[in-house]
Amino acid sequence: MPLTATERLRISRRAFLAALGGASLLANPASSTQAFAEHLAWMDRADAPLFASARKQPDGSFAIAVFDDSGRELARVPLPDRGHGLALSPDRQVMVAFARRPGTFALAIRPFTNASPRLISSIQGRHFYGHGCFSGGGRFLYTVENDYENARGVLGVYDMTDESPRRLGELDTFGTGPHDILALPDGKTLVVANGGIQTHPDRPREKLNLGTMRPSIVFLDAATGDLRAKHELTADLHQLSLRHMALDGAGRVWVGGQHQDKTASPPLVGFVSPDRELTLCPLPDRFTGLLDNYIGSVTANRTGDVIATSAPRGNRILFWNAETGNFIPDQTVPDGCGIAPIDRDGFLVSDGLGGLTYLDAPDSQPLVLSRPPGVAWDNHLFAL
Amino acid sequence: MRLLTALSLFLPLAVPLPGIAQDIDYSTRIENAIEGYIRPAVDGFAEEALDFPQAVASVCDHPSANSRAAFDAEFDRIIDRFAEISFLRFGPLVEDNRLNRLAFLPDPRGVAQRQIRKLRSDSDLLSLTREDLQQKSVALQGITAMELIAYDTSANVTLGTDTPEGRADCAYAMAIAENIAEIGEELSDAWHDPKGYSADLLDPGPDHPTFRTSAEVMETVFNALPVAIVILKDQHVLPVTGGGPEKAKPAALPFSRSGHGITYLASSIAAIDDMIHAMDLVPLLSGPDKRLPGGISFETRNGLSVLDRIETPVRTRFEETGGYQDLSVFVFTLNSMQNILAGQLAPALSLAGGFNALDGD
Repeated sequence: MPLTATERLRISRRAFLAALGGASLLANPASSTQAFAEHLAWMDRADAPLFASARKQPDGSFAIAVFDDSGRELARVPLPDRGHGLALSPDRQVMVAFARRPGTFALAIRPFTNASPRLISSIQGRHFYGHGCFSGGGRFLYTVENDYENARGVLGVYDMTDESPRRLGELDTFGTGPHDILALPDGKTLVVANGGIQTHPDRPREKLNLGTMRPSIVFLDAATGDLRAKHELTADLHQLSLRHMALDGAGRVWVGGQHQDKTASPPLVGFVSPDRELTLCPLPDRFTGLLDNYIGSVTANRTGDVIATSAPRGNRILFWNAETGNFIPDQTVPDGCGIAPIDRDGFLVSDGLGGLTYLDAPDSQPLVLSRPPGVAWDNHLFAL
Repeated sequence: MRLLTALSLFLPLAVPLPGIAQDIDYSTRIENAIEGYIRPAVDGFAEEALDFPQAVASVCDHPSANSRAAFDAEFDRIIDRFAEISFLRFGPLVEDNRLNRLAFLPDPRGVAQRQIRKLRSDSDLLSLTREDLQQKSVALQGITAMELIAYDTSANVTLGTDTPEGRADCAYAMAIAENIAEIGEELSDAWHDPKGYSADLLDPGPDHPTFRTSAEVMETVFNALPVAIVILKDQHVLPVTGGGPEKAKPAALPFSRSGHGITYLASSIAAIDDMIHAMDLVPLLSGPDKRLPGGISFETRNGLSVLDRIETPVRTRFEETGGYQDLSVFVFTLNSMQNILAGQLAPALSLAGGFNALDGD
């Protein structure tokens, strides 16, 4: 199937798509290689912000797609199974795509060189949780993994200096079911959201400890793995699985959760810092029962003063004032989940119906930019 | 039908509930959809599209008020027939990028207009063929491009102007019309191919690369309906009305340039109703749920009645004729249709959920 780019975009990232063309060899060499080659001929000047996301293709296969700010697809990297999150190196020279949990593959792509993408397989006894991040300097990749025989969260540590990622070892996350991970701007600290839910690949997606789960946000020394701070929820909220995170402009960590008790109406969003416990932000009463207690992703705008959280089961994007923690009016985006910053204040939202929706501000009229037929965007959207 | 909780307003991407939908045999409903709706609809589009080149030739070779009116009537029929297939966002319409080639929607940033401007300045349109066009951007190839070159912004047909530019546009229009006709034939052939996509839908199995069960097929086929409502509402209508009456943007309605945007909306909801009834879902329903397909018909009639009140062309008549109020009421109709499709009918058929709503991601 050809790419759906609609006009010949000119960008300077020739090598970027050259490398993605190599990535296509992983699963579907013929169609994608041809498509990439078609586009390489005219890419010679940078003029558009790029985005990437995992998605389901019309034929039921899975891929990572790269597209511009008008939704034009520029490149596609086939994946062997459903993807989830991406880790981007600080200099944006490396992009690592992770399998959806409990997947065991990740794909490291060096877009600005002609190096072939490299497959990273989780080691025996571990699987990925769909997320990862780079160290501040970009040398190390931290992958969120499940030591499922011991119900223990770990971070795989990979040296990304060479083309082939090399696993150096692993760090403890001091919790169960780690999901998202961030590197703080100080270059020394990692933040991990331990969702608290025990799972085992022999019983995929089954939750094994709902009665005793203890989610947490932990701050770790990136070099030693030492625990610097651990914040847990009060006993009455122990079933609020803390999942996704984003940094605001003041350096606070915003967290979105998923509560396991469908009859409860807890707050689902909050913020935390190493020396300050998690502050949960109340939702307006009108959302009671509407969101199915599920936040799917968390993203800050470019200035870091507005936080966007998606609630795909409620078809809502919820916005928060990062300084005050107050709720800002929501927007409706059916099955909308992936969110990325765009421009100074805006957001781009991807959804499970193939839509890419532009919001130039939280209270502006959503504008659907593109909706490739048969496509379902996965949970997370990234600005490259 | 309007008493549903807001929770069920949008459950647009249905997937089978484990252990329930998998036990239901949907094959008869799928066969009904193919034979009772999809094939007749694509055949209808294909037949209408075959007339499109002649309509272009008439207005270009013999420009007159009559030939322009005839072209406009043909364009309206094309929009009508396109609306009947445009929501079938699976299989042949998706393959080879046919849907985007037929109509480049949405296009809020005017990509097609920019590309047409560039095409006019860079190319010798007089020698442009259908084959040439098929090598160009999808935004240049279909109905939306035809509308941009054949109409002015007040819904007047401008094709057939006896100027160098007019003759060039006629050549371009002919290439578009022939391209649309060819895609129509391809669609019809693909849906009638006994070994083609129909066979994929009718013969799922454990070794099938896409569909292992009839429930997975049903997921694909049924999902097209609530997704169609989402597109109509969020993508087509709310950009017109969402900013409030002072900021209404009737030009944002697809096919409003030609004055046929309301045709597109009306035909779209009628098509959804037709597909529901062609599938004959009642045997899979029990108790009060058996009335749900009738509820779709009820809401469809409401929607058509509201749309019938809107005077066209909306770009010039919207403000003075209260179009904003009527189109806002139409949004309520779409909500009600979505309530039934996603909030009631999907669960009643053991279909529920969403791609991004699975536990723990």
